[in-house]
Amino acid sequence: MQLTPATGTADLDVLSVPEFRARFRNWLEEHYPPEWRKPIVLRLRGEQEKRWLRLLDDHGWRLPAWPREHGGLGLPLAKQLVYHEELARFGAARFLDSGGTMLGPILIRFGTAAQQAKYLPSILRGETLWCQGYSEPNAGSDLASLKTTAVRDGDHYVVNGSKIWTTMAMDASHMFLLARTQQGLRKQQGISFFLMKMNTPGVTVRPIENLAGESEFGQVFFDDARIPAEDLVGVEGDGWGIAKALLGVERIFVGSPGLPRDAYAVFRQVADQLGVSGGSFDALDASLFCDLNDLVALYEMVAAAAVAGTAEDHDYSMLKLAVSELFQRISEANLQIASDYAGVHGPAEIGALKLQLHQIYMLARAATIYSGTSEVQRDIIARALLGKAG
Amino acid sequence: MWRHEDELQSMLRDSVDRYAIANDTLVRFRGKRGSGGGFDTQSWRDMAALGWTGALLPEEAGGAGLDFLPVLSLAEAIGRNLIPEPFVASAIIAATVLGASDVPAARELARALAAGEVVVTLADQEDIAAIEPAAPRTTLQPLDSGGFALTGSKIFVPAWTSGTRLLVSATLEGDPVVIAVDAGAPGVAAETHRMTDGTICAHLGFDKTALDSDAVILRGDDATDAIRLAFARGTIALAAQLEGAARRLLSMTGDYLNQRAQFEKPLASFQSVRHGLVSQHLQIELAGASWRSAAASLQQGLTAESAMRISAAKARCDDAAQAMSKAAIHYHGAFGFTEEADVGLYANAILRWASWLGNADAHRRRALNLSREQQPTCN
Repeated sequence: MQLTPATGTADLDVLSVPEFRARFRNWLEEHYPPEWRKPIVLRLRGEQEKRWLRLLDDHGWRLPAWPREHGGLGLPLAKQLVYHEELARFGAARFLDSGGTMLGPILIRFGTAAQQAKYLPSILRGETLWCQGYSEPNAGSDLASLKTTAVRDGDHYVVNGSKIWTTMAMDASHMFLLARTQQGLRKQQGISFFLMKMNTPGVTVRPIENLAGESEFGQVFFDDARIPAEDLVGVEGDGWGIAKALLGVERIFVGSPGLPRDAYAVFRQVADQLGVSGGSFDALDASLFCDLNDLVALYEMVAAAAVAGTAEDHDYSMLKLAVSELFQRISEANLQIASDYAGVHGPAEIGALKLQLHQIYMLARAATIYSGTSEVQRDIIARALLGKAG
Repeated sequence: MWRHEDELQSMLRDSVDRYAIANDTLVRFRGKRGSGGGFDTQSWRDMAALGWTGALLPEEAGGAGLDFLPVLSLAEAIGRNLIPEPFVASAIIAATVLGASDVPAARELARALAAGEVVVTLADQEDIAAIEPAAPRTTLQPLDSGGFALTGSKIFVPAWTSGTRLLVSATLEGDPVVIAVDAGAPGVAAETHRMTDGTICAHLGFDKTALDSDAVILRGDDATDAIRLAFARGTIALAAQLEGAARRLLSMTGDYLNQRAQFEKPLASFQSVRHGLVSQHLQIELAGASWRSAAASLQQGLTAESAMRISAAKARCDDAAQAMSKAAIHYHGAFGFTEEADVGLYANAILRWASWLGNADAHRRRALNLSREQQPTCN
């Protein structure tokens, strides 16, 4: 494989949106490792993820949202959306890239020049993998109730407590985390944002197996773990605002219809292989088909609003709600038409195909929980619709 | 969601909103629904003066010659304000058929429609639950004496009044044709049905109805294509009307729940109520996105792809509006169950619009079939 960059960033500006789409699509066709072409069920992790991020960087496709002065592609939102749509349409494996998508924009906005110089290049090159240390035991969706403490001690902060549901905790080299630096204030106050190496003494990780049979997330324990003070991002006590600042337009990506679309392709495969047909099947298929059609229409509308700068927080909530609930509905319909195969653990060998019906069904369970549960999303939408809950 | 409107679209929408406020539409709707045609001929002329009845008609005919896309803003706002005049039946469906013809009879009808002097309607449907244009069994026979005789029957012909002008689809010597017929002509028998939106549908019988030789306005593929386009546009416009009506019901219900207090709290503060309305909101947003996506697709031509999106849109808008009308009645409590409450006006109009031009089940099935034809298998 040649390592000549397929494109330069200035080049990308000249392309129209459809031309940009074609350019990225062609690149994927040519360079994407075929063994990773497993939509829904495969998420790259560890060395695989590093290899993928490096491949993107080698070919000039790394980080569509980062500004150019920090080594990103600096694309306008319309092209960023196309970039993600093409990955999904192609059937590329999912990848988390918390460093590129979550931390990078935070450091670019809130980090010091020294922090940017220290961390951004290695994120860009895929040399460091980051995990997000927000959620805590017993906090659920009430993120601000976090109890992990960071106490200043000379040039360091000493961290005690625990994070949980930390995706890729075992694979990450670093974590960005929220910890409480001052007690006795309103719960959103007194929280600070830190960067930390996972091999810091006093940090231990316990993997947690999920219902889809993976150990992607885990619990992280801090026992007098010492973080250098230079790895505090922004001002002490401003951590909540820093974390929230990112939950704007980036939320459009959580609303991408890729997962339900791929799950619906599996639905049709099951039906073909088993020869399922007839009245009640057609009614089910018709309703899923129309649900997906309308969801894509809604996504395109919210995406257009996001590009125009008119999308609001509750629009992203609505999209997230719609996408996650449809993903679940389709994953359930897959099992319904698979009849006996619905009980098969692991891949179901149906006719000529191996279909991950069980794994998809279980992965879909998480969709209404992560990134704010459906109930939290409904509360956000209700506030826009009806005002505060009194 | 109106964020992507251009200037023309928001101007059209505002003009309907202003008209509705100035004319107190809900009071007017309530007053008109049980009598006459269920609408007002003077209001129809007012709407013509505002350019709505001729929105799609060419400028030579006195129309505005607008593209279909902006005209949908009128349909949405007409649905939202519950304006009873037959905008979809006449200004969209009949106007699309008239716009495809150059013959004098069609030009004169187009002029009169743009001027608000007449209501014109397409009489096409021959079978119950028809969702595609008819292959007409109604026939047009040439007479030795010149002219034609029309024989056959049509059902659920909308926008009926004794003065309504009809565009009837029929077969002439094996060719599909569209003919202009006066509702009051001899040999036209009408059995009328008052619909839940207050308007009248007629089942029509033609028994050797005598017509002049210049009554044929379209023949052959021109006739078929015009009727197909009229159905496509009418279905989207009806979907837009339904979305508009549902959106108004949602805001009426939200306002009501914020005003009413029970157990010392506004009803709108109870989470079960709040989440219930969020579910309605989500369906309405899907509805709005779906018909707009269908309309954009139709701009690229009437293809299997656009037909599929149109059906998906009608199905979604039907269901969203029906669900919202039931929720609106429910959340208004016992008052919602009374004749006096305005939500009932909407619920009734929505029943008619949702069942007209194919209901949700029929359109969902059609969308699926069209998609399967496009991609026979997914492997």
